[in-house]
Amino acid sequence: MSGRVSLEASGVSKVFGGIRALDNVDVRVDEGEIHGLIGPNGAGKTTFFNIITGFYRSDGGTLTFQGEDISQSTPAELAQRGITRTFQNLQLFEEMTVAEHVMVGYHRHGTAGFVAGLLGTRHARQEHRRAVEMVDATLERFDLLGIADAFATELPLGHQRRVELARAMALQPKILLLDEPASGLNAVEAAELMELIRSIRSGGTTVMLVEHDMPVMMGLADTITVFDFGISIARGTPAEVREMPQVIAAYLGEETDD
Amino acid sequence: MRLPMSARSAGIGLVLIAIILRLGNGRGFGATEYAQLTVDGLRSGSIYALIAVGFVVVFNVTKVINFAQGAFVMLGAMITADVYSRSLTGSDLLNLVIAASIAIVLTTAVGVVTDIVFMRPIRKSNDLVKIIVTVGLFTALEGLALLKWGPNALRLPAFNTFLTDNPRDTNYRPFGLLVKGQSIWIWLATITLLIALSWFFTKTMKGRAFRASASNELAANLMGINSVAMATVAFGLAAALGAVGGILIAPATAPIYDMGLRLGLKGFVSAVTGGLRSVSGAVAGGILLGVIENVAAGVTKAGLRDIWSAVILILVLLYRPEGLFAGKRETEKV
Amino acid sequence: MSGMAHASAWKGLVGVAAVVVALGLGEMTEAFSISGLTGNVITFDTLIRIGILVPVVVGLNLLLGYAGQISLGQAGFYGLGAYASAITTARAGKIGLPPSVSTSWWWPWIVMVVAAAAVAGLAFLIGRAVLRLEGHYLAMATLGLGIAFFILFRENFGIDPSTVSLTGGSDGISDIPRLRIGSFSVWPAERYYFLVWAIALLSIWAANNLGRSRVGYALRALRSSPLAAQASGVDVPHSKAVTFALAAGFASIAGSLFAHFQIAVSPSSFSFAVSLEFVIMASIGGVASVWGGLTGVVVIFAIDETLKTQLPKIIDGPTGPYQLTVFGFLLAIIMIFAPEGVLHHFRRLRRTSAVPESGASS
Repeated sequence: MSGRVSLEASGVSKVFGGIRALDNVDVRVDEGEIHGLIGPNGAGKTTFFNIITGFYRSDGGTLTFQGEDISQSTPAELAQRGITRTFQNLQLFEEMTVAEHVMVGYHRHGTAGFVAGLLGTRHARQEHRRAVEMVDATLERFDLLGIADAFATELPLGHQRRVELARAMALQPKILLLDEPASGLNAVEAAELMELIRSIRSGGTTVMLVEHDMPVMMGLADTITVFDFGISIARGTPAEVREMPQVIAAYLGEETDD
Repeated sequence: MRLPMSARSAGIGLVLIAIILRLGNGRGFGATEYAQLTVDGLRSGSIYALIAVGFVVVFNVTKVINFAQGAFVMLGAMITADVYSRSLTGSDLLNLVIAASIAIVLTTAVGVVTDIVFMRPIRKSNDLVKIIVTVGLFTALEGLALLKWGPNALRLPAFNTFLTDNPRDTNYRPFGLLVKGQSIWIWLATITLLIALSWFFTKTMKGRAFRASASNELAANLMGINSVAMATVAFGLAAALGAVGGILIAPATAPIYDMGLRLGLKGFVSAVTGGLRSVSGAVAGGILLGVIENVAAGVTKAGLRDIWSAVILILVLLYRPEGLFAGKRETEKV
Repeated sequence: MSGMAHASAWKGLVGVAAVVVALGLGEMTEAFSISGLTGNVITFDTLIRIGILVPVVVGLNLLLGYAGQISLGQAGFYGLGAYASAITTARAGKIGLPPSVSTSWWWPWIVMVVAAAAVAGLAFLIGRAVLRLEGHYLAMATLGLGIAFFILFRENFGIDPSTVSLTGGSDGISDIPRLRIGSFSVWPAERYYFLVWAIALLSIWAANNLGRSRVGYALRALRSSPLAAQASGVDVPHSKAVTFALAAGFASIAGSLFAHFQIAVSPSSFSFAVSLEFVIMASIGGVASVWGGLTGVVVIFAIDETLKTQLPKIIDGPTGPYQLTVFGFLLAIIMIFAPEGVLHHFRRLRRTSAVPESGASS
């Protein structure tokens, strides 16, 4: 709410085999807001997420996080700095329980490396105990205690999305990027999700959101940037965006389901 | 990013050439010696090319590195030598044709069975599982060959001996070089086979379906192409190519049950050098490996011959993992 | 959630240690002799061989089960350790080591540790470069590497043998000294048995520690979803490369132990077939299991012994080919039906039959 800029992209481009997936995109996310990205399929929203989180390198433009250049950072480095994400196609770990997923999310708060791990040093053990406590707190917050020992890949979709969210929040990120968190959820689950996202924001985490479910998007976002064919065409509050003619033409006027 | 990378690989190439020349100097090598080493290298290189194409064909369709490929080569050579030695007819030439035909058919059958029995059940498994299964099959086939033929090498005469009265291979001497008759056979057969293959891929329905399946399984399925069957075709084709390679090289290196590992590795290195996806890259990779290996062995120690493929493999993986002859691809990861 | 796992792992370790001691004492006093399905009496020789390979397979298991990568050239690293120990002791004079150093009791131990560190360092460099790539380039790179080392051993590292014979070519190196601690010789066999198994248990203990550490969770995560692991701050290529280096280092130590046990080494002990056997052992033990390494080695030794003793009763002539065939098919079949490892399969069955406890997360 301080109005400071969290994440800023200006002139970001990405070319895949001659096709410009992103062309001079400008996005500014302020600290503490929930910032939505909307646009038709193929507009470049997920590509943009992949660039912010370091999975792709941009082919031009600048990318800063809290004023520092992050355009050359790897996903792991960005996560260490407090930028993390969830995935459109769920990325859960096979053969790992819900609690263990959250444990992985807690990775960035630890320091014990291979040697400490192999030797089982006091430091490594203490760190592990602290992590377990933190994991329990996170599980409780996301209402996952009851299924803490279930394998995450064997859970229903709604639970799986919550596991991903819990894992990402275990990082205690400064900014969290959510790629279509509501897809596949029923109305009740979607409402629960909205509550969770709001609570994440009020906990001090900036949220960036790609979502096709318009009620969810309009209900959550403070600011929305509209993408169309790799270009950022508009920016405003949900109410403003809804009224923009170019937005209606590009997106809202068309079929919105996939 | 691209330029320094290719500059670096070019630099490494130059350094290698400099080292080779330096070592060759010490042995008093001149142009003739290098030309001879190159010609001999072209011979094994052609065989590597055939084996490499087998790797590429299977990899493109199934995304499997088929470690059993070397066993196909061994089977081709061993079956031919075995059947030939039985002298089924009065004519040696006819015996060879029969033996080679049986070898190709049987080895292709082994390839097809490999896919249907072992690879199909794990079609959805991760690559690691598939790789380990092909390693297991390679070992099993080698074991079976050892059971059938024992630990000693078999023998197959050079093909020219069937056409001339000379009981040994003919030596041709163009430009003061020595070229074995078998080398000519190898080159002719390889070129013919590659032309036939290119015709198959571009001109026939089956070949086109095959290429479609290789480039995009989902799209190919939507077009009504059965990618499961295509995998079987790929394994059969790879086995046939391997068998031909084995048959051609059999007179030069007495076929033995454990020849597959060495030749399989060479073919694989050739395929990786060529980018693992393109048939022409694999052919170029095979020829390049054959020449480099032979020249390097010539200027150092014959016993170290087989080490060069490993060295090249590591260098390629380190500096040009996308292959020497392929453009860099950016893949969608997320 | 970890307390239980911790305790049971410790119980297991203590249990195995007790069995090791009991077997050792039993053999020493000839109080009993174990004759299993193999029909052979299990000797110290067999038990030592099993123990030597445990660190190799435990290391490979970390790589396979945690990092999701496979090395097809582990025998090369095993061989590097063995040859490092052999050359710096039995060939010490030829490489200019003063006898005061090379004949001292501590020298072989230092070599063992330094060789393992160097081998691990080499593996790290290779792994760091190759593991940037997606897919299974490590399998291919290690296959080439394993064969390259084999050739180097056989060809005396390319050095003219008339000037200096480092590796002894195909014949290898003999007269490698036994290990000593001060003036106490770690030989006869029962002494070496306890040394080898102490190191074997140490490797299991360390792998178990690692599995329960922050790094262990990260490794298990990156195996099935490198994307999500990276998004959680795990440096995936680095972690894989370190795991590979660890596996190589473990193999090197085992190689040194092997050299001082056989007191002779030759290239044939480090061929591709040996790498393959390691992979089979690791595959049987399977994914991310403390006991996978041990189980794999024991099972393969048992099968090996059984084939060796039972086959001649059915078949005339050499039985080697049958073993090769059986192992090959065995590997394929294990991977098709129990890709996560046979041991894992049983655990999994047990787990799914039990109702997941609720709320029990610490």
